[in-house]
Amino acid sequence: MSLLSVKSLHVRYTIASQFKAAIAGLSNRYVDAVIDVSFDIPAGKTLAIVGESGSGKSTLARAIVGLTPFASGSVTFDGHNPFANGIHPVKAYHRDVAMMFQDPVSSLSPRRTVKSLITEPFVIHGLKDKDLDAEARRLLGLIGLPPDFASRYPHQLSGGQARRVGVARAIALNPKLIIADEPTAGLDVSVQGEVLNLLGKLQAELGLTYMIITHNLAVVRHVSDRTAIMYMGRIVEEGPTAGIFAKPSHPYTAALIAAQPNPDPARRRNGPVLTGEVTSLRHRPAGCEFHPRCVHASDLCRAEVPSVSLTEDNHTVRCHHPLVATGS
Amino acid sequence: MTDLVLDIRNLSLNFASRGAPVQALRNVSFTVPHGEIVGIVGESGSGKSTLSLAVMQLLADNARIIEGQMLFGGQDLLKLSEAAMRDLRGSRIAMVFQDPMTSLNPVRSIGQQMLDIQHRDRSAIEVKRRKASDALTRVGIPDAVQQLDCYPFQFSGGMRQRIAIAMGLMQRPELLIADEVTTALDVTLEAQILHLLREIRDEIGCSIMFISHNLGAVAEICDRVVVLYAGEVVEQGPIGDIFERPQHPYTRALIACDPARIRDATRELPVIAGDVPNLRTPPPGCIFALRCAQVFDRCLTARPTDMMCGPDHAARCHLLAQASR
Repeated sequence: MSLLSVKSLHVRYTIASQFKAAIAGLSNRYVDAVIDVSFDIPAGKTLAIVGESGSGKSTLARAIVGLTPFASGSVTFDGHNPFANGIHPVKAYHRDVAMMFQDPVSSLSPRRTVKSLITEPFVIHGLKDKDLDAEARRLLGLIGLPPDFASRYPHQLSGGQARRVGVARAIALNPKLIIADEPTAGLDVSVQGEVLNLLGKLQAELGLTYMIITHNLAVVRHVSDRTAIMYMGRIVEEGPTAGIFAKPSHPYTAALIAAQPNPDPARRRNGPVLTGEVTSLRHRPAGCEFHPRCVHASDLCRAEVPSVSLTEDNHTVRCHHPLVATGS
Repeated sequence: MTDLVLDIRNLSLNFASRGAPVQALRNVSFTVPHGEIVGIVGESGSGKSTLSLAVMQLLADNARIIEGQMLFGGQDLLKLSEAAMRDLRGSRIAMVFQDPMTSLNPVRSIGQQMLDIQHRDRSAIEVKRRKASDALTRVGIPDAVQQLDCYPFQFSGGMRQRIAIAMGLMQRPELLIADEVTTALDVTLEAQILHLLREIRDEIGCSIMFISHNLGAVAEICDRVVVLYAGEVVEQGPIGDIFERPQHPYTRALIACDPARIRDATRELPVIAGDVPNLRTPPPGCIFALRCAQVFDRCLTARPTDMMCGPDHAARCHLLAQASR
């Protein structure tokens, strides 16, 4: 059974007031950051959302936790609609769904101790009857830091330790789902493994469900069960992680995997596999958004937005010319 | 001798601070041969950026060079006057930084900034503008002449990095220092920029000092690799040797940790336990001893020396001395 189910989610930012649009002659006052995104995360599993900068991955995460209002679509969590009362989700939802933000050092207040940071969720949620000292010890134990770290300040932590404190804040209230935005960006490879192993250990011990947002495909391959690839606000392909890497169906997925630098000098490439850059969201290409960079683009791609189809190996793909045959 | 663009010998550098000085670089020696791309690899705090700023002589005021030589085309950069160094910077040695948004001036157009670089050149403005637009065209920016009047915010991240590279290359330097130039970019753009750097090297024959923490990027373009750890060169050699036959336990661990190198998916990723030592009081023995899996008593007391483990391939580890005995 799926813990989180997202259906046709659409997030739109207003970039100009009506007045400004009128005097500047803008035809479109909006930018669509997330378009028609649907996916499910089964309880206890990990979904990775992968995409380049500007693909809408962070906006999607913010919309799911209720930090950014969405224009249409629905979010179902554990069988309920947390947004039943409007754009602000019910408070219990914030206990069940925790967010880990990108930069742990800047998301930790520099003037508060680790203990105060990791017990802040209890204070916010009015759980004053808890013994905060005991909770701090429990959380530090879970993330593998010695108890005397409770009195440290963020500037006394290394990058990896700060990331662990971010994890502690996220798991403080025993959430069911953790949304981690770039959990290892900016970490050295030797430390990156520590944080990912910690997340894996907590998942096994506490039965957590993860949605991990990242642009690092090398990491995705090891930590996620399913992977969704986003391009310009749409999910272009979604499927089991092993299948996505072994046999990508969307040309963009294939290009993204091939673009990973190979840490093996014997297997150098002769040129870049994908030319051009992501088009501005303000000038969304007609038809399939990927067609200006796609080697398989046809007239159909330039005219019509492809619909979602299911491939033989059970990936959903949004492409007129998928690399794996669709079973329809 | 003359085929070395840069020859750094036994360079040690401290940063003065309250209390004991921070020993940021200790006895660093390596060379950059003519026309080669040399990768400087290391984790944060290993001294990669300090090293590149030392070559450019752009270090903060509290930096003290304790000993060593930096020979650029046979001339010791440390003995040059400030005026002579200014002549070198931007013309014979150029540098491209990590974040093109902060290295470009946001309130001056690209064209103005590219003319600024040529302020010593006495040619007419039209000639300089032509030179600037040619440089932009070379790095793959379309409609270069019109783009000269645009400002940095009007370009995407990848384009900005291309512009920064164009600026670095405009005076056809002998040495280009590229400090984490692809770190802020997406993989597809990273691949494009790496390809561009390689093409440029082949075309104008400059040497590149490519500083990165990304082993994948290094494997993609470098000819030689220098591995820095906590301010010391622990291993250096030709790219094939470093990746195929790494000798120092740190290099081995670093390569093993890269998730892109691990073929089968795993939930238990390898790590290097422990932290980088405090550089105010570096350990008396091997710098990596506290995190090394193969540590033995000698590592804690005596500093290892460079051991040759192949033509042109050296590593600083007691294990090699033991093996060769």
